[in-house]
Parts: sequence; C-alpha cells; structure tokens
Amino acid sequence: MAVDGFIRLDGVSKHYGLVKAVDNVSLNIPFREITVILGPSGSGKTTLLRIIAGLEKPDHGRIFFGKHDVTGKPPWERSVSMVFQEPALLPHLNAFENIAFGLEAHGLARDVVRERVLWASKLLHIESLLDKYPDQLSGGEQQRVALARALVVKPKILLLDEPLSNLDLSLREELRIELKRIQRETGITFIHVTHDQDEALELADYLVVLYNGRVVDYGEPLRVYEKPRSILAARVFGHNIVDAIECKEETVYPWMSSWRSCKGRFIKAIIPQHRIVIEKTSNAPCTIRDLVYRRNYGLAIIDCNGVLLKVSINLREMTMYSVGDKVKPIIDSKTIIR
Amino acid sequence: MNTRLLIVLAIVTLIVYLPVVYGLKDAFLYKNVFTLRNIVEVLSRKSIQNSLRFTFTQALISSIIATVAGSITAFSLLTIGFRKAWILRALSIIPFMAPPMVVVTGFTSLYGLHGVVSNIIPWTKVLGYGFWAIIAAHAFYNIPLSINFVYSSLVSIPREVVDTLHVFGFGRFMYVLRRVIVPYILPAVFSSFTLTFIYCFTSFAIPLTLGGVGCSTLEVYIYYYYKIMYKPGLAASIALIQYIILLSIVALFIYFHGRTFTAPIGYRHYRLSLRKSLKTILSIILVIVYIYLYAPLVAIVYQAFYNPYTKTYGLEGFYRVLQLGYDSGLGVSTGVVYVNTVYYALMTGLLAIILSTIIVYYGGRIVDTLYASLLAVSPLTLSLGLLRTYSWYIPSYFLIILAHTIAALPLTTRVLRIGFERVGKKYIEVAHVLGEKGLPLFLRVVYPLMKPSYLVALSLALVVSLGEFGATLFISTPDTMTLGVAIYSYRGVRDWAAAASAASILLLLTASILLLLSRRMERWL
Repeated sequence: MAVDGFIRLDGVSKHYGLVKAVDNVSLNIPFREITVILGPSGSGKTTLLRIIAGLEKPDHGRIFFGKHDVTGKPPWERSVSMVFQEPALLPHLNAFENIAFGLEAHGLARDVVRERVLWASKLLHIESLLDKYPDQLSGGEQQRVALARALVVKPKILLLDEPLSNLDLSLREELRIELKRIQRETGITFIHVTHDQDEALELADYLVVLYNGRVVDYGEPLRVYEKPRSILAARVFGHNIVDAIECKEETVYPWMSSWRSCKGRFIKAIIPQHRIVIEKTSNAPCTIRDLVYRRNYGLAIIDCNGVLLKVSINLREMTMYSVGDKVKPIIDSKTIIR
Repeated sequence: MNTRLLIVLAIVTLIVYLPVVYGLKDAFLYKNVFTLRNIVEVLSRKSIQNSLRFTFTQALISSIIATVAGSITAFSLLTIGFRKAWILRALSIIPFMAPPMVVVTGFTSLYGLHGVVSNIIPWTKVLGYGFWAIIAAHAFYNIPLSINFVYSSLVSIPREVVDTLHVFGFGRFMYVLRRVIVPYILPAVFSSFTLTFIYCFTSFAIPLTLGGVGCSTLEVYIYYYYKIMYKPGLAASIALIQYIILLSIVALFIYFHGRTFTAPIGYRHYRLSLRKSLKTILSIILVIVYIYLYAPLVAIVYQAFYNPYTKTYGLEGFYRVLQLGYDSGLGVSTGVVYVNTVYYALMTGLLAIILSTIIVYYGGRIVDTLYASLLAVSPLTLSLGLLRTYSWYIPSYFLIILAHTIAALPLTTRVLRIGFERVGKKYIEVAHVLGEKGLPLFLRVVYPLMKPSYLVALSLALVVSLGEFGATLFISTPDTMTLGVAIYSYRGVRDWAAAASAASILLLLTASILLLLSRRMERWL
C-alpha cells in the first residue's frame, strides 16, 4: 500500500454507551516521523490508536492512509503493526518464534524469515535472547522482543500503545532513545501514545494533545508545550492558568495592587512554570506554601492572595528558599499566552 | 447478525432447540388435532400431582442439605489450615462426577437389604430405599458442587478487607463472619442451591432405582408414559410442565451466579485464625463429610467381591461382567457393552469439543444464554425430542452420542469459555495486527494457549458419557447398551455382585480420568 502524504482522520468518533471515547477527531499525521498522542487517562488516546490499527470500528468518520480509505479494513490489510502496554508475547513460543510470528502469518520462506528475524534482533540488540522463552526474559527484554516482532514485518506504520509505561524509569529512558534511533534508521511512521509529558516531548516530531476525546492542540512539540493553543492543552502540561486583566501596556494579576483599579480586557493567562521567576522580598504579595524536589528541578508552590502558582526553580537555588518566605513573582508578559 | 453467530445458533437449534420444540409439540396434539387436552389430563391426574409435589419437596430438602453441608465443608477446608486442601477439593470431584448407577449401587451396597452398614445398624436401611435414600443420594451428589462453589467464593474475599477490620479493632470472628464472609459468599451459596435444585428436580436414575411407591419424579413419569405406556402426548405434557418450571429456576441461578465473586489467579485471599476448639469441630465435620462421600464408593468394591445370598467372597461378579460373550440377562454380549461405552465416550468427547469450540469462539455474548438454555433441558426431555425428531433419519447409537454430547456441553463450554477468557483478547489482537486470522490464528495462538482447558473439557466429556444413564436408557436398544444401563439390568435381576463389579469398573474408569487431571481441574471448578 503506497502511503504518501498523511494519515488523515476525518471526523472520527467512537462511543461506548453514553461515554464519548473519541469525539469528532480530525487530524493529519505526517508519515515517516514520530507522532506522539499525549493525554491524561481516559482521554481516548488508546481508542484512537486502536481505531487507526483497525481493532475498533469508528461510529462516525473516515480514516485515510495517504489516498487510501482504510476505514472498513481489518488490521491485517492496513500494513500496520502494534506494540501494546504489555508485551503479550506468546508464552509457548521462544523469542525467535515470537518475532517470526507475523512473517510466518504472511507465508514467507524460511530463510527469509530467519534473515528478517536476525535483522530485527540486531536492531534491538537481542541476538542473545532468541532461544529464550518469555518467562525467562525481564520486562525490558520482553518489550524489546515485542518491538522486534512488530518491526520485523516492516510495517508502514508502527503503533505504540504506552509500551514503556510498565518499565522502570532508567529502562524507560534507555528505550526512548532506542525508539528514536530505530525510527530514524527504518523510516517507519511511529504513532506513540503516552500520558507522560517527558516521554512525549523527548520522542515527538509531531505532538497531538488529546483531552476528553477531543484534539485540543497539535503541532511542533516545543510550540505545543511553550504556547499551547487552548486552556485544556495547558492543563495537560500542568501550566498555571490564572485570571488576568490587560491594562494598557501591562498585564495585571489578582495579587497586584492595581487589580481593582485597572480597567481593561479580562483574560485567562497561561503561564508555564518555567516562565515565572520569584524574588524574595519582605513586603511581597505571595508566600511559599511548599517546596518540592523533582529529579532535575525544584518546584515552589506559592500562594498569591488565594491564587496558587507553580514555579520551577533551579535545584541549586532550592536551599535559598523555605516554606513561609515572602516572594514576588515576576512574569515576562511576552511569555503569557492569552 | 454476523455469519459466525448464525452458525452457532444453527448448530444449537439443530441439536437442542429443534428436538425440544418438536418433542414438546406432542403436548398440544391429540389425534393430530391441536388441543390442550393432554396438558389438562396430565394436570388433573392425581399421580402426576403427587409426583410434582414429591419432585419439588425432594429437590428442596436435598438442596438445603447439600448446600448447608457443602458450605460448612468449604469453610472448614479453608480455615483449618490444611496445607493440602487442594487434594481434598480435587477428591470431591469424583463423587460429583460419579455415574448415577455407580452411586445407586454404592448406596445399596451400604444401606440396602444386604448393605454393609444396614446389617450392623438396621435403621440405616431408610437410606437404602425410598424417600430418604433419594435425599441422601442427591445430597451425596451435590455436596461437592456446593463445596466448590462456596470455596471459590471464599477465596475471593480479599485479605485486605479482613485486615482492615482487624486494624480498626473489629476482628472478632463473629463480626467478620457477619459483615464480610456471609455477604461475600451468599450469592455463591444461592447459586449452588439453585443449581442443586435443578439437578435434583430433573433427577432420573436415583428415584427410578432407589425410589419406592410415591417416590417418582416427573422425569420418571416421562419415561413411564413414553417407554412403557407409549403415550407421547402425555409424556410431552409432563416434559413441558417441567421445562417451564426449570426455566424459572435457571433464571434464578443465572441471577445469583452473575453476582458471585470470583478472584483472579494469584489473588491473596484472607486467612482467619480460629480458636482451637472451633478448628477441631470443623475438622470433625470435614472428616464426616468425606467419609459420607467416599463410603458408598468403597462399599461398591466390597460388594463386588461379596455374594449376599451365599454370604461368601469371590469373583463371580467380575466373571460375569468380564466374560465377553453373550449375556442372557442383558440380551447382548458384554463385549458389545464395553465397545459401546468406550466408543460413545470417545465420540462424545470429540463432538463436545468441536461444538464447544465453535460456541465459545464464535458465540460471543450469547454463550451465557446458550449455557442457561442447555441447563433448562432435562435429559429425558431432550431424549424424547431426539427420538421424536430424528429417529427416522439417525440410528439410535448416534442419538445416544448426541444426547451424551448435549449433556456434556454445559460443562465443556464452561471450561473452554473460562480458558478462552484467560487467553485474553491481547494475544488475538497482536496476531491480528501481525496479519494472522481465522483458523490459522486459532491453531497457532488460541489452541496452544488453551491446551490445558481442552484436556479438562475432553476428560469431563468422557466422564459424562461414561456415566450418562437417563438418556441412554430412554434411547437404547439391547445392541446399543452401555455399562451404566447394564448395571441397571443386573440390579433388575438382583445380581448385586455383578452390578457392583460393573459399577467398580465404571468407577475405576471415571476416577482415573478425573484423578489424572485433578490438579488442573481444580482451576475450573
């Protein structure tokens, strides 16, 4: 199947009883790149992936791979492959046989099967595991075998349904790098589903944010993260969303003295955590309520007249602050998304 | 509706619904005229009214006794902390699956006229013949059913629930029993009660052989009116009345069964620490129940070597049963009886596996409905239907195989369905996206993962066929006789040693199959 252009979803919806899992999604997913669909639990991202795979039929809408309408086609006629959250390796087959499964289903000759399995196992660095059975493999090894099994059939599109979510952090990070490398080497279109922002930003060439079954933003990952086009997308990233008034040249917030006197346009401002800087002063309007250590940065929760703001702090600066300190938030008005 | 579902419905219609409807249509026909005359006549007959009352009463009492005894035994098995409890649980499968004629022979050997126990304690003769014999035999059969239902429910109680009560200081046994254990197991208790009621209500072999005057169930009357009086209209009317009653009880069973808690594999269930005195009492109950369950089976072997008329021990019974030539008492050679028994069992196994596979694999959500509708069809209603519908086109030996297959279907379908659910959708979806579908998908993915379920389903089908009595007696002619019917014939001519010898052989066959698979089977019961 020729797959030039985009994977096009055109008004796709899927309901389960009264629940709208996917709600009128229209989207162009570029080929030969990694597209990540990011969304919280229950946002419909797995359902959307299963619809693309052909494992679920949409109630409405159409799906095109390039010019081809694949809406009514079963999975095995779509030239897709899929890796699930659980590796789902067949327990009665060893790693070699598991990887060869799809090739045998397509009726390829034995030597071709062997050659392709060796290619995939080399790609995933699992040559030494080929004669082992799933119960003899670790979680990470199992997921590598599952990846090899999906890649060996040389699909046009590889669908990844949170394949790293059951792995520990270091393994997850290692496999993220591997996934990116494999995509670059093979040129296969990857559609990866995750609820993990870090994973999404690290992997994505193209990012789609899903919320309550609807696409709330999409595009180049850095733009989507730094300047989300909707409040809902900002909420997915955990950005600060605060009331503000645009007063002449200045943006005024509820904790400022000019809040009551200012006459202007009322807006909802989206302020990413790392776009706020705090300054310790005795008569500042905000108080530090909590200080949280994250892996690569610190997080200060500050209370500004009842408005809670999350502010990223450099880990080295964490010791400069303590809970109860009076601080003044400084927000670069150019970074505010209205 | 998709084609696959239509295939399933067509198969079930052909082998179950069509014969049942065709057989029951006679209830509305009198001299080829549509009328309710047969039904009115049946309902106005004193004997049928008494039978209906008796059928209901014995089923109710048997179910209460079996459920209470089974529930207490299940609780004892779990709480006394016996490490090898699974062995006792597995052993309970043998009485449950024992062929009815084996059980009947066991009860006669223990409590009958020349019984081992009744010779020492004369009042126990009430358990050898008549009303209480039927109750005792039904309880024997269904205590294991109750043990397995309630035990499965007990091990579904999460450990954390009981631990939480302990942490809050509400860990007293009676409190835990009242607030946690009873609410958890109640649906299982009721579903085992209703299922036992269904089995006892449709009981045939036990009331036919152990029941005296006034102790005939509706099934016995169906047999009597069709096989002895040849009045298909009246037989069909009784079958129709029975079917309507059964449908409502099956609905109750489905209701309770749907509410039963079942734990996933590897679930950590609670452990209660009981006082030593209570543990001792429960242990004693456990021992008594297992003696009750196994004494009739042991007595059969004893009776096989004992001639009550000459009061001597010998092998006459086995000589008669194992000589493969013509047996005038049976009207056929014993060799034919063995060949029939084994052949029917193998064919039943094969057919039941194929049909259950199709039902489970293609049936989807209607599997439960099919399971329920199979439960509501009593063996004699089905046999009546099969005979009336297909006897012109299908030889009687194959009708017997068909009846055995349908009797085995609820069990095999249940086992394969659980196995299929455990395989899970994920492997099938993986195979789909990798390009596998249809039969190759079944052979490469589903079957290898379900092999243990197939082994259990096959063995259960074999055991059902080996022991089936009602439908076989209803359909069989001398040349299609099985070992179960042969035991009935030996009993008819009062050759207790031969009956016990044949029962021993049948017991050996079924017990070997069940014991070989006991560890695997535990998961499905």
